[in-house]
Amino acid sequence: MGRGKFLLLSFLLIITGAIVVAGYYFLKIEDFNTEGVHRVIGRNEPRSVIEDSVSLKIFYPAGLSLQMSEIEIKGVFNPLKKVEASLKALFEQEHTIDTGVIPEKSSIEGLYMGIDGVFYIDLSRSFLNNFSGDIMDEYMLLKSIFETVRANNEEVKEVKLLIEGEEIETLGGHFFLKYPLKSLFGEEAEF
Amino acid sequence: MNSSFCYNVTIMFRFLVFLFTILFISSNTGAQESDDIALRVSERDGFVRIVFESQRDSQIARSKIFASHTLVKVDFPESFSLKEHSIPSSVSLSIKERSLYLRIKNLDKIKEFKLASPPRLVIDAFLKGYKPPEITVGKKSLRSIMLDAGHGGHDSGIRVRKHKESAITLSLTKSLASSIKSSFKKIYLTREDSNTMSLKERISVIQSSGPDIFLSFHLSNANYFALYTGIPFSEYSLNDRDYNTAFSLLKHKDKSKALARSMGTAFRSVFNTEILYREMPLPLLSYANAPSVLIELPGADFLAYDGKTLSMIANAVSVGLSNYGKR
Repeated sequence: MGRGKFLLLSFLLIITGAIVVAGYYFLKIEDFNTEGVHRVIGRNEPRSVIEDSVSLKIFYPAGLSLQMSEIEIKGVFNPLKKVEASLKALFEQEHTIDTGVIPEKSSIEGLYMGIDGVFYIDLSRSFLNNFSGDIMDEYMLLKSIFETVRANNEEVKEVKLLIEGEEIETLGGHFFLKYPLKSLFGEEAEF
Repeated sequence: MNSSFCYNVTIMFRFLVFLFTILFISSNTGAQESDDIALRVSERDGFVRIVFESQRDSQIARSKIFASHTLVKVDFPESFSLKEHSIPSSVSLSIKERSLYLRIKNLDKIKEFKLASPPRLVIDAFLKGYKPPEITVGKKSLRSIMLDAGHGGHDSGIRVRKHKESAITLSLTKSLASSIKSSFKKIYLTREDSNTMSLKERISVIQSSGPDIFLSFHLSNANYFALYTGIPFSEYSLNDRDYNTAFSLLKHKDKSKALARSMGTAFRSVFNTEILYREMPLPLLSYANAPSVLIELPGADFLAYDGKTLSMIANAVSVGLSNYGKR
């Protein structure tokens, strides 16, 4: 092989390698299917970690506010699985708090983390069809979902709801759902 | 051959170092871009609107604004680089460390707003001699009203026994339209039948009609009247139309609250019940360029929605409107 050809081949290999490295660097996609992080358990670690369990925060709609409840689950450290478990607890109402707002037979069809930090929650049609509430019911239900997701995964910046994979205009006829939920919260107040 | 191979490896190594240096520099440059602040300055009729847009919430939320004579000073909490667009000749700009100075000819006073998604600081600098649009709330100025019956069609709203929210709100708006027809030149209804109507369709009807007052009627599950006024609805990607909408809402914020208070007083005197006043990012109120209130009536468990009750509610709304007009 002549020196010129060798140099050209080397150059092409380097360029290809650089493109792959750059592509990986800029277009990195988080894969939540990979199993959790290896952790070294220290002497002062909380009891829940030593027992291989984590604490999840669930926010339930309760009238004009939210009520927080904590549950312990074992063997779940994957961030997506944690959110899934917390949302299941919220929708399946495995709790003693009677919200009267969470639509019956609601179930999670899918959870997706977008590269832009938007967390998509795909829900069953029962969530939409079985909701019957006023403005504060709808507002607090949406807020409970948002806060529950955010409390159990700090990487989530935004939450977007879908029904069977599709965007919907509104849940109860009061608030827009075509935008992520964060835009709804923060400035509401009594006057 | 051996020395040639070593030579080639050295070249390859140097080239790799060069490539990674380029990558490192470009990634750092990308990180710095998030500190860029975009500046838009535009002259309006009697005032100058200055908009700072950042990628960082804290940059806008913790910014401080000072105004003195013709100078407006903005202190940002973090260092920034400015992406400025065109600046009119009446405004001059200078930057010192984390402070930005705007000198505005004939400056009288400023008003500032902080908005989210994306984070923005908006300063309206009013010039000397600026006269705000004349606001007359007297009865003569209230020429048109739009009444919105909540829900409809396959969206029946709250269902209590035989009652449907969509049917009650429709009966009420029709009854109300009849009782206030002498007070307004034009009364619009967003819907006149039991067909489905989306929020987007309602917004389109409101914007094309341009009423002087907008009232939307709903039912609650509670035993009290809840009166809602709007707050800016910060959308995911705000375009110019939405941006202007946020400001049209702010323009009517105080009048909307006054209208809600007038309504609440009238409801309390007729029904002797608790009234909840609340601001909420409700899209119908956000997009109505007029004093707007969403009225949530007590649930069907607490109020018998027969003809007499609907007539009493219509009467209370009529009194509330009249009191608002007399302010």
